[in-house]
Amino acid sequence: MVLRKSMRTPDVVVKKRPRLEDTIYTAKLFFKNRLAFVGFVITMIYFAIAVIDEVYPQWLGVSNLNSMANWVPALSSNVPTAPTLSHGWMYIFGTTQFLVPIFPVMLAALKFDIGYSLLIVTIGALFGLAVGTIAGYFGKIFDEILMRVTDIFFSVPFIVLAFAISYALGRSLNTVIIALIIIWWPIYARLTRGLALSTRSMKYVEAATASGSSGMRNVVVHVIPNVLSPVFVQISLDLGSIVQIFATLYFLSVIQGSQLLPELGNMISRGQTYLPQGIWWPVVIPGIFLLIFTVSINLMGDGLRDVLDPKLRR
Amino acid sequence: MASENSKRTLLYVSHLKKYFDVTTGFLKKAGYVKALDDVTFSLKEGETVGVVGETGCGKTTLGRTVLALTEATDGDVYFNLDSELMNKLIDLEERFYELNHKREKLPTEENELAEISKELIPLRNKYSLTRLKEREIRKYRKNMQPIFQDPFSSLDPRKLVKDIVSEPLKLLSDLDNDEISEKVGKMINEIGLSDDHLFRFPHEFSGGQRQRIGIARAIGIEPKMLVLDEPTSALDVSVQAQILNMLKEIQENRKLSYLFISHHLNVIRLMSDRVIVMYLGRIAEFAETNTLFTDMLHPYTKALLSAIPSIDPTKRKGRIILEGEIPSPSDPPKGCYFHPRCPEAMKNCGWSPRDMSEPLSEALDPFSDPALSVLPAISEIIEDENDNTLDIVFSTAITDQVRARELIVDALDKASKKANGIKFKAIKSVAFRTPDTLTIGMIEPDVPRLREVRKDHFVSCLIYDAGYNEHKGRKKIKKVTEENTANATENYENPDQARET
Amino acid sequence: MLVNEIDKTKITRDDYLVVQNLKTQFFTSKGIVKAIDSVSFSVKEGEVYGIVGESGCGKSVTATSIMDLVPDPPGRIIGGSIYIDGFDIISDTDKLVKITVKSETDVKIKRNKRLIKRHNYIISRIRGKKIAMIFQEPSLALNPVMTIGDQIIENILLHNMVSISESIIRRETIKDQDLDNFLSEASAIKNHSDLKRYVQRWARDFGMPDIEDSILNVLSSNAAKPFVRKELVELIIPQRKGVNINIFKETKDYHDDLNKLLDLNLKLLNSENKADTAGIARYEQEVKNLERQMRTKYLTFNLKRIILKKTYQRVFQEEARRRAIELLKLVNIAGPERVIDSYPHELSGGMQQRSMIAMALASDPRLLIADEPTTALDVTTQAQILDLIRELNKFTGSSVIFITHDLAVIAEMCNRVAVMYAGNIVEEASVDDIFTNSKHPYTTGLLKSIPRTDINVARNLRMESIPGNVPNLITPPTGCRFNPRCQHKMDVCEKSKPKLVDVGDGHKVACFLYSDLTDGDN
Ligand SMILES: Nc1ncnc2c1ncn2[C@@H]1O[C@H](COP(=O)(O)OP(=O)(O)O)[C@@H](O)[C@H]1O
Ligand SMILES: Nc1ncnc2c1ncn2[C@@H]1O[C@H](COP(=O)(O)OP(=O)(O)O)[C@@H](O)[C@H]1O
Ligand code: SF4
Ligand code: SF4
Ligand SMILES: [Mg+2]
Ligand SMILES: [Mg+2]
Repeated sequence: MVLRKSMRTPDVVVKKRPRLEDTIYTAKLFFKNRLAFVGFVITMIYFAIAVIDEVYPQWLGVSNLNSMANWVPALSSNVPTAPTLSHGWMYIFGTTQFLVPIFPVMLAALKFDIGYSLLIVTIGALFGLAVGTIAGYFGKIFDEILMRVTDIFFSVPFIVLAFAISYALGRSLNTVIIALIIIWWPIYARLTRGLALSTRSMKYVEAATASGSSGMRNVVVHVIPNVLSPVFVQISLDLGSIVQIFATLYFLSVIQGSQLLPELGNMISRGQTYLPQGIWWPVVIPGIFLLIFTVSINLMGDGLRDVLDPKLRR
Repeated sequence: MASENSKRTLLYVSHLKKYFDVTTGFLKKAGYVKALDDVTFSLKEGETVGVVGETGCGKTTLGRTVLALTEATDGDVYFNLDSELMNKLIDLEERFYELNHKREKLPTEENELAEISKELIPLRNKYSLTRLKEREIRKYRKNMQPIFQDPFSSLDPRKLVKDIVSEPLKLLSDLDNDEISEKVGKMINEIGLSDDHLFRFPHEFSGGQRQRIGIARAIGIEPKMLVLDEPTSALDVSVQAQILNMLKEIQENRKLSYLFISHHLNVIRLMSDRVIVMYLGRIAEFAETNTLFTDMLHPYTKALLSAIPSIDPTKRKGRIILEGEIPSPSDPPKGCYFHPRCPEAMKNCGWSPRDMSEPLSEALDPFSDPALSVLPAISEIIEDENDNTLDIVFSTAITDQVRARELIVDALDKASKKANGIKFKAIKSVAFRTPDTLTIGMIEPDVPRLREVRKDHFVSCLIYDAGYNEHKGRKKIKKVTEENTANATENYENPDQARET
Repeated sequence: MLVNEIDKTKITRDDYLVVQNLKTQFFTSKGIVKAIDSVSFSVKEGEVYGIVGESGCGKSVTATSIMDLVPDPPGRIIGGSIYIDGFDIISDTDKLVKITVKSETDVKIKRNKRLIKRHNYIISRIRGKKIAMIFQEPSLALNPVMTIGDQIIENILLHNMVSISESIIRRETIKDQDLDNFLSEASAIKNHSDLKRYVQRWARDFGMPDIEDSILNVLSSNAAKPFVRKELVELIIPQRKGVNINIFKETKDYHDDLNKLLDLNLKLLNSENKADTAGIARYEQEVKNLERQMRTKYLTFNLKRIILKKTYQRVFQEEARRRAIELLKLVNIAGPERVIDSYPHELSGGMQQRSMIAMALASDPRLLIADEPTTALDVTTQAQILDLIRELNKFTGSSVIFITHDLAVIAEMCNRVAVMYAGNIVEEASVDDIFTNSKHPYTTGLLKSIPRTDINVARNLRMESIPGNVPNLITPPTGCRFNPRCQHKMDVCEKSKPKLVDVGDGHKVACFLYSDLTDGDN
């Protein structure tokens, strides 16, 4: 059957790589949002530092942290040294009570913090995604069980749970990480369950079913690709909060471990001892450093959410 | 409904029911919504059956159940069977329900029923889409495809058009990848888009174009039947015309059958050979398109058709404006579901206590009938659906009950003569149970069944039930009802007196 | 209605609303949407004016522009005038913002906060008093966490303080004379429905609509006159609350003055618009004087108001609630006493739409804008709502702008129709003319592409349709915006934009087939 010419839509140029073009368009939209752009750049700098520290630690001059205490020249007391430039750029933010210069330690800490956060969030997200989409799509008993289990997680305060789990497993950093993974996946399960539930009722899923597509195929082919972008947004938002939780847990001495471990939470909680004496820099400087990270990653996440919102794409 | 028509029956839906559970809290069942309640019809090859009705009457559910996208609660769907087998099944099903519905069966009929069940049940299990497993349904899927209303949610936003259109081919055909690509290219041209459009995402298209893509997806696999659920309701009129034309063209070229669902009566009229009018999950009327639009019988159809806004001023005369709203399907009225709004309702149409308490308190209000001011005030009216009675509780005990009853019966009689007063004629008895409680009994309602009132014209309305005379039409019935209730005062039984005498 | 019913003989059928060269645009990240491209029309008093067109043609934007409710950002009215009751309400548009367009996607908008504040103050008062709007999706327009009653009451209290105060004062000070007048007038009316209407009006004026039915019953009973009078007094006495009426008198004065202030501000605005320095000076002075007067006059009043807040508010609330119930009755809601305390989600779509209409009527608008009020409803409910709007138009004499995409609804509802396409009015005529003698190719195409039941069509017949789609308004076609879809397209159509011209009997068309005139803006 050939339709009348008038019923055809005007011809257009062939697009060879539609997916790439779509991605480029998304990126363009994203970078139009100035705040998101700033957030993105700062986040990337943090990530770059972490990667460099892993691959070429000598570039940052923080390769040997334990020997750092020895760099301290003629400093008299065992009290943190105030920020100064007279001993070189490393002392720009002063030192900790172990007389370790704060600036390089902060840089070194990023490797741990970003690494741990990524680990926790990725494992949590993968597990949560699998459980959440299946529960949301297939519903019924499985869904009820998931909802009740996650209810338990959501009804007990976060910190208390982390406390309980890590006390049960022993209070090392590793157990805290395991505890956080256990606590974290329900967030993703809930998120993806809701999304899967609404995707399930979409007519394109019904069309696939009408063509004999099985439930599992629907989940893989139609549901997961459609719930991924909100999950990415959530991941970006969560990366920042996990570091904050570390700080809290150190402060509450849930985590016990090397006092010298370069980790922002560790630094902040150790530095607090000296606050009453008016020694602010061991707390405030890493605090600000962490704050910048959380804020920029949140800005980036918000920007992502905006451009991935399908309403904006129509 | 076995037809003499030479055309093959492609789809036969028999007494289909779909109840959705209404759950509250943790898997607790609180009742159900009767989305489909005993729906029977057939669709022939190359034919379009239109389904029309207001929101929530079960059109979408009907489409989904026919396509086996949702499990039916009861009933059977036969699709694309050998015509001999199909006719046999139709005959068996019809006879089965006819016998089954009879309240009192003759022994010979009991025997026949048993025999029919013996033959029918294995056939049902083997052929009815409602009873087969998903694996077994697969071989039917190739021949039935859906087209949806919402052009936005019907295409996966993360897939390219070519992937969308090729999905059924990948899943259901034996074609290899090259053949699929070729076929997809052909389809996209057929529905009026060009090859370049294959490499785009759905969000780059307008509503009309998306609907075309949806059509390409559905017809690529060369099915025999399309279930179109409001295919143009989301589109603009000018685009709607394009799509409707295209659908007609496709149907003619491929000899497709359409189950065409829409709430838009004009579109239904334009597209369909026969039309089903639905109300609250039941079929109200089923007839040939022209018959239905020019010579409709069911009061709901009359109201529905008269409500269509029209450009022609002469068509606006005699508009029936229905009162009230469609009741909730989770708690439908008794008897005929349409009775609370029906302008032609009769006394046996389903009036039950819950329809009565407000009209009763109004009719017995001394303001509307000063004669009643001698009675004490009514403190409450208690409905009892199970007993089919209402208790009117007065604030103080009444000594002269005979007089009081007379007054009330008079008032009810008066009320029954007013507009919308027919419900008062459904009152069977009026009697004092205790000195301060008057019990009002209602007659047992009848439930209308879908009957073939004229050839190929099915109506579900008590007006056209047994006793309906084709030529005298409604009048005869009306006369009978009026005679029956001519002297209401005497007609109300008084159980007390009955007992005494 | 809450105001006295308009005397039909006095309707002047003057233009109540005049829209001239209205332009509204949306400054989005993808470019500037030229949603309304110079639209002019006028609506006469008491008339039902239809706007019809496919989706995306700018019908809703026209309506929201008149209400000054265009979502900002991204939208702005960038030019034109809208006269309501003779006042140009958007004459200060250019002063409110400075828009610098560098490119389609890079637009700077600088706002003048002070002027915008004044503008919004004036507009919000006008919006309530003179125009009201009902929307396509009642569920989105109603506040989900407030009961229907509270929402209506809020609107009533916002706009009806004067008439509420008046009726409270009348009720509290009702005299034998009033009653006698009422009885003598009522006894002169023979027709029952007229009597009913008279009683309704009287009961409302005297703030006791609760007993409206009872009064009617007493009047209809055939008892002797003195007996009727005695019963009436018995009915009325308990209605009086014995409140201090001074505060209500002052409330009335206060709101009267506020209205005067609004009028002066409008006059000031118009003088500014005409750059009439004498006028500006005069009205500025008058505004100042009135404001000063009000400050001194109501100093104690405001104090009293605070002290008496509880009683004072309760009386107003009660009266407003009565009126709300009355409004719900007016829009044919069964069981208004129950509905008034329900939340929107507890009501069906039709009931929500009725409540929406009741809410719009709460402010006694002289112009009601109904934007696709029945599109989300079923036909039988649509028939009810259309019937209701028609009745209200007849009963209150207010004008209606009825927006829809359904030509058949237009045919049933309207006196005059404007057909919109891609941000322009392409044809305007009386309803009969549009349907029997349409001129613009778009209108003709639209009429041919609607499926009709009044013509028996053969099954294999194809409908005529307009090829293509409504264009995207970021890069609309040049010249006549319909040209890519038009069968009669000529060379000139791509180059210049046709002007909407009268081709006889008030039938206006914008198409080069009928006139060579071009629209100066293009
Ligand atoms: N998945 C579901 N769960 C519960 N109730 C449903 C579901 N789908 C439909 N219903 C109910 O069944 C009735 C019929 O719905 P539907 O078939 O969508 O009507 P229509 O398409 O005619 O508007 C409605 O009352 C609706 O609320
Ligand atoms: N908030 C908005 N942002 C951007 N564009 C808008 C907005 N609202 C409306 N538009 C555009 O204005 C044009 C007219 O829209 P509208 O008046 O809603 O059409 P309709 O005639 O269907 O009511 C459309 O092209 C639409 O895309
Ligand atoms: S059975 Fe017929 S007459 Fe009776 S209520 Fe139903 S539709 Fe009306
Ligand atoms: S001006 Fe030209 S393009 Fe526009 S409607 Fe008239 S003939 Fe067609
Ligand atoms: Mg539906
Ligand atoms: Mg609109």
